[in-house]
Amino acid sequence: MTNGHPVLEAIDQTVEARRRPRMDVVYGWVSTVDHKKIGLMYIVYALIFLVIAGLQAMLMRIQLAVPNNHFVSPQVFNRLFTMHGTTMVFFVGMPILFGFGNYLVPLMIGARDMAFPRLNAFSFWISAFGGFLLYFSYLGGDGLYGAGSAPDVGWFAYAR
Amino acid sequence: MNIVTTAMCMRCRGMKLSRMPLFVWLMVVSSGIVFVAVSPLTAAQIMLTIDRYLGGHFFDTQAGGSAVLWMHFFWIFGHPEVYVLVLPAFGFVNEIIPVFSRKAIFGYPAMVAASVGIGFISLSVWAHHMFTVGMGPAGNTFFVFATMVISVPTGIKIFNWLATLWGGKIIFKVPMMFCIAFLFQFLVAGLTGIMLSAAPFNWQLSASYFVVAHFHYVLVGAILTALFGAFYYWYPKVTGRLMSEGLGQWHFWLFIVGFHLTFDFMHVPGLLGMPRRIYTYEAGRGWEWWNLIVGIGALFQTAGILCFVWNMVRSYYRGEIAGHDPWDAWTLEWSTPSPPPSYNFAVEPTVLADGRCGTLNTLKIRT
Repeated sequence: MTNGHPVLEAIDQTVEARRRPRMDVVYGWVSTVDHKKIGLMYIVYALIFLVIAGLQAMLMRIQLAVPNNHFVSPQVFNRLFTMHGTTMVFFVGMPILFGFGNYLVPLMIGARDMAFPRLNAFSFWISAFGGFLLYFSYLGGDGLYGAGSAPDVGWFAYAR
Repeated sequence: MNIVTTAMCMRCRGMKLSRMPLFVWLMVVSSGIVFVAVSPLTAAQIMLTIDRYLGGHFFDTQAGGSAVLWMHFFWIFGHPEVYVLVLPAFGFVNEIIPVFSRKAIFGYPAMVAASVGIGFISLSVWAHHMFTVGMGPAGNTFFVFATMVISVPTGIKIFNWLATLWGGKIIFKVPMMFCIAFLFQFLVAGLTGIMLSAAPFNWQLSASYFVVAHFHYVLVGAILTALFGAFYYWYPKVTGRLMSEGLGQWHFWLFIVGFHLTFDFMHVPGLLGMPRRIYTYEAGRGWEWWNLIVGIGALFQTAGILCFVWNMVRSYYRGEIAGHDPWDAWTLEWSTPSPPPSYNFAVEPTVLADGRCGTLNTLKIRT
């Protein structure tokens, strides 16, 4: 069933010849403190945001490709560049690099895991929540700059 | 904190600090910067919350506070933050270039010293983001000087990478190609940075597309490029399968062409006066064609990234099976099976000898 696939075999290693129930696999990932799994979660999380922020960039580029364009309104454009910057710095750049660090540092120095595995897991989940919270602002209630709006002041927030 | 503690306390026997892979050194320095630099951001955000919701006036100039205060707090965080982003990228390059040149990294002690130096100096350059705010000539001059000084350790690193390539037997596989692109692109990015560090030059180009082009050159041209190299290099370790070289070449060339179309030409509208964050512009200023080329470059980059994602997904199921060390590298992670078991090492390895200082150290390990 695993066709000799090394990763699936690793997952199956504690079960003789049956597939583990799907909820077990999910729970395994959600509750893991293994630095390798946490590193991979950071990387996947960052890649998802890379695609979203990349789309934001493409939309901006389309708007700016010709003069006097009306592809998006000015308010939407302001939100686009704010979210593109914030997402790329905080939800792509940092997670992906610390994800690689998490995965590789213990392996490169011959250690079993990080010094504080549970803190590691907690850090991942709290940053995932942070990402969700920021993007919730697209849907959420009255913002300071209009109802249901994401921040639109630039990623370094020099508010007018 | 986790990373620093792990690297300081959990090294296996024989893994002296002078034998630690440079990637680990760079993660330690990055983590050190995070330690120092994130607190100002948190403090500023708390002050902003007090301003917004509890009637404070920290940043309200009309009430005796100062908007410039926000800028200081933000950039005391913001500048070191970009070094936190770039140092791990240096780490990837430090690991990949020696392996694909079949040579140890040139000048390991200098590399460590330069990395630590960059970490410290990065904490002192923040107001080069604020040259137009009116800090006065003394303030401006200090930050011009500090920013120029940081180019010295950075230059040392670039020189050492080139010296590693010189005389080596270079293997042009995809991870190495991304690292070579990194070298050239990071150099250009650093040069535009040094241009911007001259306060008068900065006054002309502040908040223009020249700045946008500079920092995207670093973020995309250096960091993301090195990151792609790292994906191709470590994917076999994580999944046990190699990514496709052919698709990797497509990814590389589409992305590099797109990157240069977009970000090389983005400098020009900046020099012609196009400001940042405008949602449209009038025809007749000479910006139109440049912006169009920039947009076309973005399409190429998207195509490259789609190749990359497809490569990752497809190789997971149908990639060539990699052994434990497909690149014939020599750092400890390559001695584990691919993918490594959950306990990493069945027996704690002991690093016996050091061929030369640097990552060429685990040829003789006893497990």
